[in-house]
Formats: sequence, C-alpha cells, structure tokens
Amino acid sequence: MKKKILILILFVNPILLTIPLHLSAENLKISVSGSWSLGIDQSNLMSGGGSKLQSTYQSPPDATLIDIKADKKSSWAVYVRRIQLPNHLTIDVRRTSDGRGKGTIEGGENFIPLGEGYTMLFRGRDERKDVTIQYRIRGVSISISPGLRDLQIIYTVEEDGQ
Amino acid sequence: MKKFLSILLIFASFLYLEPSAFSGNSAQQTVQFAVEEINEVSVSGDPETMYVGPGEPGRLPPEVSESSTTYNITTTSSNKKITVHLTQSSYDPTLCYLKVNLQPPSGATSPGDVQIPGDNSSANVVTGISRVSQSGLGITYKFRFVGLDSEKLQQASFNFLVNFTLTDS
Amino acid sequence: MKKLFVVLVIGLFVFVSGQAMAGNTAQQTVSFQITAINEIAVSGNPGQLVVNASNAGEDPDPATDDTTSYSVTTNGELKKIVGKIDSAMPSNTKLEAQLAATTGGSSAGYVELGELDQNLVTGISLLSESGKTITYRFSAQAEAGTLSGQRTVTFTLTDG
Repeated sequence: MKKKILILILFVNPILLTIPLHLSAENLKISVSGSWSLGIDQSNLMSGGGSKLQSTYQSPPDATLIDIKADKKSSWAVYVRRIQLPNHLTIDVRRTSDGRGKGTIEGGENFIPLGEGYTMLFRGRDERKDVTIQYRIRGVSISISPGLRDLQIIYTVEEDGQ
Repeated sequence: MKKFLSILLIFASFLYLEPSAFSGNSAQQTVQFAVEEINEVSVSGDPETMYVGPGEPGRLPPEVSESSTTYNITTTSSNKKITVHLTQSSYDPTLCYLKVNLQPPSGATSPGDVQIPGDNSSANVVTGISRVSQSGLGITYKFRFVGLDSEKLQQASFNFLVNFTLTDS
Repeated sequence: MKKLFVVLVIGLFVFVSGQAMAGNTAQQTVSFQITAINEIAVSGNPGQLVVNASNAGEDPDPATDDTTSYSVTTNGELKKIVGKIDSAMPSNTKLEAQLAATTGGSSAGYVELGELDQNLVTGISLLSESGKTITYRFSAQAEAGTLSGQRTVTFTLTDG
C-alpha cells in the first residue's frame, strides 16, 4: 500500500506543479471592442496632382478598447500579431492609456510593428478595463491599387511568468 | 465557460468599390496665339547677261530677253503689290528700255511687260497679292535699244540693279 | 485505494491534453479602403504663340512654347492623357501639343488638337510624377492672314 502511494506521488508531483497555471488560464480572458476604418483618396495627396500619397496614417488613440479579466493578483501579458499584410505595408500598435481597474499595467506605450508572430504588447496584474489602443499604418503609396483591405489583429492574453 | 470572442471577418478579398473612371481628372490651359503681318520676297539670283546682237544694217538691234530667274513670295497681308525700280543705276529711255514681267502668284494680277523706269521711280509689276506663299514664280527681262546714238551704242555693257518691293497697294 | 489511483491517473491525462489551449484570444479588424486616384495638374498657361517670320515662298515658321508642364498621380493602371480644345482653330492654322511621357508610358509626339479628345500619353500606371514638359506648336499658312485668338486646352487623365 505504501509503495503504491509513493509511486502515485512521484508521478503526480511534477504535474501538480503545472496544474495551477492551467487552472488560472481558464479565468484569464481578453475582450476587444472598437474598430478603425481608414479611407484614402485624392485628398491624401501631399500637394495635388503629381505629388505622392501620404504614407503614414494613425487611428484615433482609442480605436480599440481591451478588457482583461483575471484573478486577483494574477500576472498576465497581452500579445498581439497580425494576419498577412499586403503590399509593403507595416502596421504598428501601441497602448495609449492604462484603462481602469484595481490592477496595474505597464509597457506598450511606444509603437511596435506587428508581425505574423506574437509580440508582447503590455503586461499587468489583476483586472483592467478599457485599455485604449492606437494603430498606425505605414508604407501607403500610389503603387497600391484601389480596393478594400481588412487586416486581422489577434490579441492573446497569457499568464506572465515574470 | 464564457468566452469573449470578436466576430472574425475573413474578408481577404480586394474589392473595387468604384469603377475605374471614364470621368478621370482634368486640367486646363489657355493658349493664346497670333499671326502677325509677314511680307517676304526673294529672288533666285541674277539673270544671265543679255547680249545684244548687231542687228540688220540700218535697223536697231532686236530685243533680247532672259528668263532664268524666279522669285518667291510670302505674305499674310491682303492687297499687296510688287513694285520695281532701279537703284545705283539708270538709263536714258530715249536710248533703250529695260522691261520686266513677273508671273503673278495665285489670286494676283500681272500687267505683263512693264518698263522699269530709267530713273529711280517705281512701277507696279504685280498687284492684288493677298495671303499667299509661293516660290519659283518666273521673272522675264527684256532689253532693247530704241534710239540710234552711235556714241552710246558703243558702250560696252550696262549693269542695272533692279529692286523689287512688296508693299501696300 | 486502487480506484483512487485510477481516477487520479485518468484526471492527469485530461489536464495534459488541455495544455494545448494556452491563453485567451480576441480578434480585431482594421479596414482601409483606397479609392481610385487620378489627378492631373498643369503649371499654368503658356506664353502667346506668335507667328511672325517666314522665308519667302514658304509658309510662316511655327511658333512653339515649352514653358509649362503637367503633373500626374494615379493608382490605376494603363491610364492615358487625352487633350482637346474648346473650339476649332481658325482656317489654315493648327495647334499641336506634345506631352513628355511618364515613366513607363508613351508620348504620341506632336498631336494636332481638335474638338475631340486625342491621345497624348498612354500606358500610365501606378505613379506620381511632376514637371513633365508640355510643348505647344502653333503653325499657320500664309492663307490664314493676320489674326489672333485663344483656345482652352483640356487635358484629361482617363482609362487607357
């Protein structure tokens, strides 16, 4: 009987060390709201016919609102990435406010370019609501043919190991 | 478990929302132009020397003529004429005459053979010239002795400087 | 005890397989729309074209002006610039325009302008260029006589 219990503990312990992380992730949630629609036309030419198109555009500072729901005292980090971007464009993102709530938040105040892989945007503790996000699109030029493009931005919240 | 999910819009399409325009964009300029009065006449060169033969005994030598030269004309004006006169030369009309006949350009009139005055006065050789440009129009000279003056007839040669002028009628 | 052991083992496998579900995600759409942009501009008006010289026997010498230029921006492909005047030229005269080609485009050279659009530059795609020379040539036959006038020239950037 003792032998069986010992074996059980040896198998379970390493896994028990990780279970609490999985259990906390279940209570860690992110939601986003808002949108940004950008229209580019001849009014964005630098100086009329013959001139270049304005290459950089910024959204309102609160184009997106992020809510983080987390357990008390839990630490988390928000990661962000984009789906494929056409035509030599770059999209940047930054946090423009701390939002509200009892928790804390840091990082992400400067624009960072988004890639197809995840990049950490900001981190914090406890819950935060209405964290505002601003976007910036760079590289717009006359070589991009007319049309509507939709860019997908994906946010993920993870427990922060720091 | 309540999950917060945004609605995923997978519009990877690139839609043309406006037809590529036949309307296009346009710009304008004002272009001013003018044609001013132009009057140009030129000749192809000097005629060949006209040699007066001895003629029949007791009779004046016959008239000689020369038609190797031409003239060119351009005018944007109306009702012009060409006159002729001698410069730096003259002749005694009791002794001889020098005539000239100019082929008229389109729409103009030539009186035919016109005696070039022996002094420096002018004579009309073509009239009614309006808005024309033509080249290679014929010039015919005619020369003849009209009086018998043995002394003057012995003069070796005559040189005449003939001046054509395109001028107002 | 044996039952407890089995339950614990089964429970562990459930959590291990769930390890793949890391974090929570949300998605945001950023939309941007680029409309068709077709812009052409000119630098001003040329000087007066005056015909006032000729060689005798020939039509008067044409007058030219190359002091103005055009600028063009388009995000379209295979566009063209056409030109026309607002009314016919006086008899025995003609007004021609030659536009310098854009990069990758083709100029038609001197083109006599009339009341219908004429192709001046073709094959214009995805560019913005400025300072492209416009050269006018006004010619008159002697039969035109003395005259003066003006015309409004309209350049249009349109589909090729």
